[in-house]
Amino acid sequence: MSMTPAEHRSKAFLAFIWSPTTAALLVLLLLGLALEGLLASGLADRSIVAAPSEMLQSLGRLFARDELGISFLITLAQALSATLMAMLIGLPFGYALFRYELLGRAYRGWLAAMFAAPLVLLYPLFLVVIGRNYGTTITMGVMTGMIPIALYTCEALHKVSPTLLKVGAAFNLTVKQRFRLIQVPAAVPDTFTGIRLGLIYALVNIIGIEFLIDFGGLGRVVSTMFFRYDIPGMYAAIFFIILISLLFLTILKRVERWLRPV
Amino acid sequence: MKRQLCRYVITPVVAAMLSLSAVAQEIDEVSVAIGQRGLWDTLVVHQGIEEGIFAEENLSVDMTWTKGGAETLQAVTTQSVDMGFVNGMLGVLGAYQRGAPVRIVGAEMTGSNDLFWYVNGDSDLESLADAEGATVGYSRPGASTHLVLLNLLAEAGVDAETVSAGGISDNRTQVMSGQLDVGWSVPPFNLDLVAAGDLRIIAKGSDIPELAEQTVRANISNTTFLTERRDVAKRFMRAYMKTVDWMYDNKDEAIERFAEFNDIELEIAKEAAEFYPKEALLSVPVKGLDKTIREAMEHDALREPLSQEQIDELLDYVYDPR
Amino acid sequence: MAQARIDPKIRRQVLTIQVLTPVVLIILWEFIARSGLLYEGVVPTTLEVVRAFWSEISSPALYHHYGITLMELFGGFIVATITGVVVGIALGSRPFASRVADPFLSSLATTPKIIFLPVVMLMFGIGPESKVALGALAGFFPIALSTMAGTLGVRPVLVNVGKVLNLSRWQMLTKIYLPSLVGPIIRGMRLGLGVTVIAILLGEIKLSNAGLGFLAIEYYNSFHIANMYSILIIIFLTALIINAAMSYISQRFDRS
Repeated sequence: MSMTPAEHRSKAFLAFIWSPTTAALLVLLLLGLALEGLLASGLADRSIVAAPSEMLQSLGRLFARDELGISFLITLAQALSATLMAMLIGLPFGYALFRYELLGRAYRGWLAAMFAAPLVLLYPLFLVVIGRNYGTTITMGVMTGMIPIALYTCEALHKVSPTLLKVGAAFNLTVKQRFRLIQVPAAVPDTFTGIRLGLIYALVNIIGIEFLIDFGGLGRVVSTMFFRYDIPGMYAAIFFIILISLLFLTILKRVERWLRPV
Repeated sequence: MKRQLCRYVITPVVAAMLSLSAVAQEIDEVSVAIGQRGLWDTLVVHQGIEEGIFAEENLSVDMTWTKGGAETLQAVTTQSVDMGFVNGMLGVLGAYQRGAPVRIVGAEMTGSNDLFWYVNGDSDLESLADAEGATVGYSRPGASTHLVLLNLLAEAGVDAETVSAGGISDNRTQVMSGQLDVGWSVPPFNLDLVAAGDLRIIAKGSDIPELAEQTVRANISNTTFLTERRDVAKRFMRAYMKTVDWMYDNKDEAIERFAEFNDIELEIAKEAAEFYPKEALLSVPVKGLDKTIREAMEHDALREPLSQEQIDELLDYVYDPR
Repeated sequence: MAQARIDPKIRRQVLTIQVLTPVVLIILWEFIARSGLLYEGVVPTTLEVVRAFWSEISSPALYHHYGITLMELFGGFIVATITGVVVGIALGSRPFASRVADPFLSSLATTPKIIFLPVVMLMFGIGPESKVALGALAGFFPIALSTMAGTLGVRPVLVNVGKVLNLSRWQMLTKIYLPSLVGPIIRGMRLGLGVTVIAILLGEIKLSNAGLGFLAIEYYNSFHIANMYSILIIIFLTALIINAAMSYISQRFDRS
């Protein structure tokens, strides 16, 4: 027997109530309340950890007076610029690694090693060469973002099914046509995984460097709050960064899921 | 008889005297955090340790260098250390108002004689009066470099573009590479380049005499240490002040040690020491607090002014020789 | 993964490229260093860097700092591994719990851990403990996520066999789950070690009196740039060795 719209809505509502999302929010709420209780009773030290209520109040204050919104846009702009530049370098480089076997064999291992290397530690080098400005933060973002883009692009092109290429050949497609009409579309999902990782790495490294050099957007806000001994403000800024990370992750995962063939 | 006198009288008396003197000589350990390693004013504790002045007060000092005021302040308030030296006044006032268990035990630096601004050797700028529209660096908003710079620019009647250019080395690189017109520094850093003609000083904190009446950095301690080991805190500050006296009474020796610590030439060390008159390093009293409170409000370090009661609570001179 | 046999001619050509690349980069570096394009000193010549490198490795002080960094790394990684594996298995063996925890773990995993340094400093002070804690925090997430995913992926037939044989919880853990989790745990450890290294070095850069990160930033602050480069080289060589060691362990024990 099919359900009425009301029964559908009721079922969906119940599904939401018992969903992991609700449980996660409930856990967060309980943890927050527990922390409030510990602080109110004096069992936890306010000079070490902030009360969630104070933290949320500080979040409002950070937006109103400390330009948290603008800082977010600054960080976002840097991350997007860095990712765009990383794509401009990484995509053709990844293609070159795929297209020219010698290059691929010579550099893929190195790129994989660099992927795991602490490249962010090179920031003093860029501070010295480029200076304490957006050039350094964006360059670090480009450097760390470019590697997964190149690696995944190369990998994606390699993974294209030979059967599809044979079908193209059977239809008398030229090499360029096979590349454009078969290889590129087939490689898009995995390439996008590389772009997703590149964006995340760029964002993470940019925020980290902003904090270290006390310049820029979100990372600088955390550093400033620490400098001012504004503990609730500091926790609020960190919480906001975690929220941004979660938002980015969710959006990018949705896009990736949409790009993948069923 | 003699043997009995030895056994029952002399030996116990001697033993008692020895143990009493051992108790009297019990060494107290003090952990301190000090920001900005290697400056003339930040080396006071090091000088005192090397000269044995802290040992004379039966103190054993465990020193940790930090990058600056915020880290030092956090180390003190979380009781990672007992005392913190070289803390920006705005940071301390703000922390106190926010409930941090911190007290000011003395002034660390009064006046801004240590700060100077410089340009590239081939720059056209001769003084800040020429800096209309130029980019002039300071460390970060609300820091003493920022406040002093604003005063200097107001004094020069110039509308320059002030830039949060970071630390001493960040400023130097940016000035030398042309990204910044005027950078800031404290001695002994960059004096070697000034001596070589690569850089030229165009303004100093001492150019504004009024600034000499404002304490810009303080020495602090946490309330637990001041309550439970107040005598130790008192002896420490006494030794600290004695060390400052020693440094200026034995300047040559102090300069030699300063040069050795920083691995710099003696001439540069002498020049650096000249930036610091003794009055700047006196621990009591903290001066210009009203002005500091106003500046703290302007830069969001304080939400509202401190009451006199709060000021009296915050200032805790454990040792006052006046 | 077994490598296909490569034509010796291609192998020689690849090797030539790999040898020539650093040579070309060094030549480019020398050109930039001597050209005057950049402010003198920001890009020292190769010879200056080599001299500084030699001076560093001949100095006993380096090994003191090296030892501190290694100790922090070892401590942080051990804590990250133990807590990550325990939490990963605990969550992975309860699918609903893992779905609740996944957004927390994933978003925290992608947050730059260096911003937690003030929090860690407030809790653990300014000594090596805070760096160990930061390293543990950074390494925990990839290990926990990988272990959780691995636990969720343990073949149900194995779990059912354990249940049928009435194995205790401890026996289930040691005889069913852990043997199946070797691969995911090692993969997680490999990722975790990388981020632990980064977190500890950045922590030393920002707030420390000792360690390789502290040395690097001290040289930067005192404008001994060649020495700074030499420390960075030492750090990267160390990271390479650690990565190679984990690669070997991974190839040896990760059957997937």
